[in-house]
Amino acid sequence: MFGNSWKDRVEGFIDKPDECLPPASAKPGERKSPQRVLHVDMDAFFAALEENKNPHLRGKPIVVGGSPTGRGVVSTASYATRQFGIHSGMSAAEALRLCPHAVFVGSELQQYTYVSAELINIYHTFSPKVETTSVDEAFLDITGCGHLFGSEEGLGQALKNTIHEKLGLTCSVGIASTKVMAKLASSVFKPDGLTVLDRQGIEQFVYPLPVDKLWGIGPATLKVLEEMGIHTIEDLATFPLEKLQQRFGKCGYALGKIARGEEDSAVLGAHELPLDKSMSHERTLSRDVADPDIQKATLHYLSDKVARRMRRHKYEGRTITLKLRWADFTTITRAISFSHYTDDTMFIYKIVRGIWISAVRGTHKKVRLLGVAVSHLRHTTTQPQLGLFDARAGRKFKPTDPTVDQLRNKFGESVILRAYSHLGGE
Amino acid sequence: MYQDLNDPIEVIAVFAGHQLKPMRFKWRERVHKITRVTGSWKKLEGEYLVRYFAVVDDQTNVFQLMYNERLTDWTICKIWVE
Repeated sequence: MFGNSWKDRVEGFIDKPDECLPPASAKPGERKSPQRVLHVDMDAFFAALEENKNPHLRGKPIVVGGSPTGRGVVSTASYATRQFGIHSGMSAAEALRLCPHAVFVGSELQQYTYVSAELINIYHTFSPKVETTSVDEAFLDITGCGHLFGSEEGLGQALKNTIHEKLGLTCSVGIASTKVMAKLASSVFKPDGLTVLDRQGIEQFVYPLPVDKLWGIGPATLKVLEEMGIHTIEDLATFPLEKLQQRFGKCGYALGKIARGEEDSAVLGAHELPLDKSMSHERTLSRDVADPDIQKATLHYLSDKVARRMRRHKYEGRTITLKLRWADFTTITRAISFSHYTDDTMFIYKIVRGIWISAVRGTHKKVRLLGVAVSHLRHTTTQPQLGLFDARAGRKFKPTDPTVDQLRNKFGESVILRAYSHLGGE
Repeated sequence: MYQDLNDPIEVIAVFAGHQLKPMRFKWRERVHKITRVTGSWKKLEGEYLVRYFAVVDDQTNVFQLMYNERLTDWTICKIWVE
């Protein structure tokens, strides 16, 4: 919802974790398919785009993101700045402290999104099955495609060349039999790397690496693994699957298979992706705020963004969540679930406002961040069934949503805004 | 750093081969000759395209220009200042 745990990711690899439990006849090392996966990761994507369009930035340490004088966050750091310890997600002020001569550039999200779409077009000339995981990363199913380019290495190099010729950008490519191993391979030689891993390569090269190099293993899981005496990927790969299952539940088995490079994680094309689990928007306020009107306006603005996105993608949901971070960085998330589904801006806002009132009642603390999420999604039904006591029955504002959507579809998102949310839109 | 601007400008541009390429623009009574378009992208605002261009002029100044197809007007959005 507001973040991914390793369990979410593991469950992403195995849509039905129960089905991943070992069948009676399964033997370690046995594979179901000869899949080959290519992972492509653009090198310092945002920073590279900024450097390309501005000759004054060539060779300089670039930080893309918010302002270091405000409360901005680093989106991307060029390789020249990473040696100073600057990384994505760090506060821009901290980045400035680490590298006082860094050049800070604001994000140009429209350009990054546009170039990302261009990249996806290029990927589709190499494989019909492309799964994008972020604006600058994707998996390609290249099973059986290698011979078209002489070898898998030839395919990887051709992809890199095409991206460089058309967009002037470099990327790192990893090729392996699973998504996790392909991603690991792409991270080995950066920037501008190309790594192809076969079974032998996994054992020789991947097994000695620290276990937290595996995608999705964060500090909390690492701590538990280390307590179990698991420090390297080989330790995890050779650890009895039954014991991992005992410790981590049904995801333990998947963890072991991932470390062995044996998980069945098909690359999912755009039509095969599962339903989104939630839709959310959050906003770090430009300063810590105690004013309830600004907070409510922000909640309204965020509710409108979430509901609009749901309607555009034909989703409706029945769990509404408020995320609230106080100025001291403590964070709470509170949710209410309903029996009916909604995509109604005002309904979502009223619920989230109610949660907010109960959260802030009696406190005088300032708020740093607010977020609104809707989960338990399904595709919008064409004929909603209203219950006798349904909260949607008799609602006052619903008829405006389709009109607002029509206006925005024709003239853009900023053409109309509820007056009340103006304060929250900043 | 970039300085945000939102000034209307006059632009001489070439429309050819489904491409739009700005050649010169007049801003604050001065004509800038564009020597390189270093980046271009577009976004949909509703049903209409808005095109963006990162350009360098003959004095190596870096600008970002915007062409709004619905309004058929040009705006200078940003300038790079050291």
